[in-house]
Amino acid sequence: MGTPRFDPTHSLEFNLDRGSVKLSGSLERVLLPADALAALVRGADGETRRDFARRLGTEAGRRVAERLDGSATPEAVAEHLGGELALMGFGSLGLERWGRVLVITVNGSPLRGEGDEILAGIVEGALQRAFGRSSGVVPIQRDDQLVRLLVVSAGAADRVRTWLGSGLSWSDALARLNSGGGAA
Amino acid sequence: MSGLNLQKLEALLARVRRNRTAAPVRVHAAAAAPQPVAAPPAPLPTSTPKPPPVAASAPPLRMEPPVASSPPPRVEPPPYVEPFVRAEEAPRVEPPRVEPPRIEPPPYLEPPARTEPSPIEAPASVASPEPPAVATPSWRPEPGSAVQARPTSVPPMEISDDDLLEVSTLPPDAAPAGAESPQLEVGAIDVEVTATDAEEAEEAEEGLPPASSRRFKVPESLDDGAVQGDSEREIPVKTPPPESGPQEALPATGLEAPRMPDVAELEADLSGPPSMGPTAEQLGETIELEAPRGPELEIDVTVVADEEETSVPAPAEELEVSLPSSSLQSGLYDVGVGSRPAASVEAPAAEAPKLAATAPHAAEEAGPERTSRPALGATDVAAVALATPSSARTFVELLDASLGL
Repeated sequence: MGTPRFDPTHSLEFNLDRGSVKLSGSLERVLLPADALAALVRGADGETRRDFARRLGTEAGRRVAERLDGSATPEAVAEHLGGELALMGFGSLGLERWGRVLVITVNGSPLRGEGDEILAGIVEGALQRAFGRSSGVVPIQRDDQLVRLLVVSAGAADRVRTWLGSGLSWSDALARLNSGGGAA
Repeated sequence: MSGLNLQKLEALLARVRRNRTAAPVRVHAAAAAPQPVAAPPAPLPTSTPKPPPVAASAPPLRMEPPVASSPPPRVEPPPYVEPFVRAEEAPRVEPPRVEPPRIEPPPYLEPPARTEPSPIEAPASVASPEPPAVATPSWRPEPGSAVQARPTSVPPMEISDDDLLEVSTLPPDAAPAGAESPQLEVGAIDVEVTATDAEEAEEAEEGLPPASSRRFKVPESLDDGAVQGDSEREIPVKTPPPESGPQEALPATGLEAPRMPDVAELEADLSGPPSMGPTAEQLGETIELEAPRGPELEIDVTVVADEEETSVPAPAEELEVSLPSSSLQSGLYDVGVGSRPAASVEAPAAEAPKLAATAPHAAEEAGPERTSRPALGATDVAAVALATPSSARTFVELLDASLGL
């Protein structure tokens, strides 16, 4: 059975009479300026930001789960999950494999560096909702446009944060993960 | 004035008179002003709409004689002078009233057409200050025709050669005895004759024939034409006769003249002795070289035979193998041909020191023993471990692998 392609036709609905916006029949949305959202996120505490982001990711994972199952290929997941992320306006999603390590990239996020934790929370919520896997997502590298999000277990995520905090480069952290040095 | 010119003038005068009498023939088609005197009253209604200015004023005046029922024995001239009313007064003239029954054409009115005063007299009687073009001679009825008024814009009378040609076919009529010749026409004729006399006088003075023939003059009558044809035929002097044939073409001169070769110079060159070589002009200045000084250089081109004998034949020559015999077909080779056994056998071991001639003989004699490495057969030197295909076929597997770290 082939994987259906991502079809965003009529995904976004503007009801001008009611003054509402809906995305794929979900609850009503609010179109906000990215910098206003970034300021709001910046002023909130960490737990609030993570909860806010996971709610967004959970909704995206739900729509992905409606079209994909456990046999979906990485390409299909990148297409559908990336499509949902693009509809929300958080950038373009991609997948990378560094050995056995899965890395998700997001390019062109309007929240820039301040929104990396938001993106990490969205991915955690989506993977939890779509595939039933609890994961810890850590931003390990970022440049002007692209951010790399490491998808590992919650324990490995804490270790990587420690490594990165100690000055270890993200490539060495990935190599250490692949060599099993991070195992507790 | 020669007698011939006088005859011409007389013929012209006679023709003018005839033209005046025969003018209705031309005007008949444009008859728009019928005359109540010469024509029956019936055509009058048809001519009322728009006659010419002069003609429009003439008929009403003529149709108003008080004694229309009883025509007078003779028409007086004053009523006929009225047509010279100015053009501005014409609209005020009442249109002709058609009263045919009361008007009867007088039968004796035909003669007055000729006896009427000349056109020159009429302007004098009217004393009109208008220019001659407007005060044209009054129109006079002419007998036996539907008379038409003459347009005012037409000059009084001009006689051309064409008119003369028409007249020449008719016999000349004698002019009426009592008719007066119109002075104006005579004057015009005088002018013509004067011009002709002037030309002839000039020709006579020069005493030379004209460059081209004059225009053919129409004779007055057939007899004159026959005589004139014989006597006055002119032959152009400068015209080449048609029987002259082709003329000799003269060489072109000026810019159009082509460059002609100097035949005399060419003949002089041909007559001279043949040159056996380049001339002094072609060679220019020749410098004589001095004889070589010093010892002579000798180059020995002899071949040393000893070197050929002592030289070692090239290895390539030793490896030469004869090609398969030509008896075989193309693409086949002789299986019996060996794999160069002679080359390996013939390779003399004693010739190796010759190749290493630069080495000192003492070192060669006291060198270490060399042990050559045994040849290795074909074997797998490297073992390449190919990358195993991705174990994670699905995203879930990949995710689980990453989560298992």
